[in-house]
Amino acid sequence: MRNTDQHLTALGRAARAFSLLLLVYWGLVALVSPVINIDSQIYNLARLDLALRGGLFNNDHFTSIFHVMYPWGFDAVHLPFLAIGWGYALPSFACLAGLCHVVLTMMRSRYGPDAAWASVLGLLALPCLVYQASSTKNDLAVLFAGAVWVYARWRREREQSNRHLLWMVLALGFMAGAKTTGLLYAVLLSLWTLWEIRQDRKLVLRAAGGLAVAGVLFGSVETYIESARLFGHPMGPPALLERASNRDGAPGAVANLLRHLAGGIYVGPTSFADRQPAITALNQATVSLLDRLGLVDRGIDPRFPDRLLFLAQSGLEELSGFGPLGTLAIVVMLGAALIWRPQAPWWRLATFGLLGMALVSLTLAYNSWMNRYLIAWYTLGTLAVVCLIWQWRGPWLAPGRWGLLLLAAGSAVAAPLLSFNRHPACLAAALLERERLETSAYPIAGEDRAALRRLRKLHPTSRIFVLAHNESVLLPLLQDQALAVVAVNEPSFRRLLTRGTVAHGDLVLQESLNRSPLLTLVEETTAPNVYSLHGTHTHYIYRYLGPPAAPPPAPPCDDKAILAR
Amino acid sequence: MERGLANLRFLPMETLSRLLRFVQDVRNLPYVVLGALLLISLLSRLVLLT
Repeated sequence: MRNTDQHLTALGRAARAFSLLLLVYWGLVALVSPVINIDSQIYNLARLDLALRGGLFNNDHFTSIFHVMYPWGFDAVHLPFLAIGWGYALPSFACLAGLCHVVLTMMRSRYGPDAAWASVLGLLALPCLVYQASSTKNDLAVLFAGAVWVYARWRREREQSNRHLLWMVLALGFMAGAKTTGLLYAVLLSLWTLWEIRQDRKLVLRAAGGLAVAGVLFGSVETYIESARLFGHPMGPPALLERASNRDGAPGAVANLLRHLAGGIYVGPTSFADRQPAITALNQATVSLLDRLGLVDRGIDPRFPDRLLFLAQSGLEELSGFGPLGTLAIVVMLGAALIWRPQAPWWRLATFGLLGMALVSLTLAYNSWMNRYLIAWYTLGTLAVVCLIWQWRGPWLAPGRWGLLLLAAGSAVAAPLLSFNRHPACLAAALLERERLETSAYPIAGEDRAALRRLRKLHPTSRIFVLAHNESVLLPLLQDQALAVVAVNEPSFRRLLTRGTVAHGDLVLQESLNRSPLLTLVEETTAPNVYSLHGTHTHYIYRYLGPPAAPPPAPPCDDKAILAR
Repeated sequence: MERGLANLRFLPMETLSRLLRFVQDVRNLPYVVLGALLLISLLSRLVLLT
């Protein structure tokens, strides 16, 4: 049934009011927040600052394999915002706005405006999704590209116009360049696109050509080339790829799917300060089920064995789940696996959601921060919930719809309140305590910066080297122009020492205690590790007290200069 | 002023007008967002690579 002419009822107006209010809130967060995401501070955005100093190819400033191996099509969008210093998360928020528009339009067309606004509110009730929408990570970009592909395909069918095919192709190019997993989805959707137009050979050729051009222009080809040159594999170091992949085939996929489904069961917000009995019970039940099926430690990233399984639903961006709506989505997706309703939109959405989760489970090894890899599939599951409720014609129709609205509104409002760095108070902090908010997910980076500023005043001529490893948080230090830090990795630093480039008195920040006789400890920085109650980080700042750098050698004899005389 | 307006004639006004109409059509919002992101990404990558 189609209800395009329906008017908004009280339910629809309530859903619209909540949705618009929350969209304004998340837009404000995106506008004023500094870069608060650790991954971005390690590589997504940090590498842009480093690439400005030395390009992409053969860049000695890169200190992490992640600076090279990941596609940077979406990361690069943030370059102007790094220059401005504000609005870092606006690209992700734009993706959310685009996604909401697609959902609103398509759901309104099918089920009317009430369902459309309920769907939008449902998406805003998924904590992982809204945290990504106010972040600088690239996961939402992949979902947005998928949404544009679906929307363009839908409009092409309705309007019988091939110009929408161009947008399908562009969306796939963007998807391929945004994230490594996006490349996999882009290839699958490209094949789907070509299959759908197979009757028209000329159109197939044009679309294939367009896909090739879009891939070259927007697919971040250059990072694959540099990765292949450095690591012998376009995706990155083979050992790392092996660690990140599911190496156990079907058993690993089943185990991972069970972990992901269990992780979608919401038992209240997780606090690392107090492991609640419900979370502990869920963790134990999941491991017990895996044990009974003989699937313990199958499909995992070796750093995350099942004895440490912790299915977090926290307000931490990296570990956030999908809340109560996510649990409903899981129930509907599992329901779709048990019954056959291929004509029903809810069934198709739920089935695609479940298949998507299965694909993630089959390809990627399980680790603790994988929820963001699942946002597309939870989105489909949540829309399936709305479709199911709106096509329901049973006795509990009105209570069911209002129940969904209340659950979605409550979850959507709770998402910012449960976040430690997206809370309403953080809007003020973004203006008044910007640097503290910036390093709130990794406080020691703020302590390092403060210590280096103190030492800089004492030793104004000393240069500052940051001896970084793969996962060093660099961006807060790189962005402080006055510090002018030089990020180096261990081999580069050794080379600089050998060449005498590191001068007597220079400062060196590193994360581990290095008892080199040439380095004298001048300061220790310690800060809590927000990911654990009792954990702390300690970093060390040294002065280099080796021999003063030799005077520069006399310039070589310049024949042209002599002739000019 | 007139010279300035005359210079504008060299711009592809018809194309600009069509682009403006495309952008103003709210149904194209997802396309506009995607197009903007692609354009910024491409230019930024050029800056980073050169």
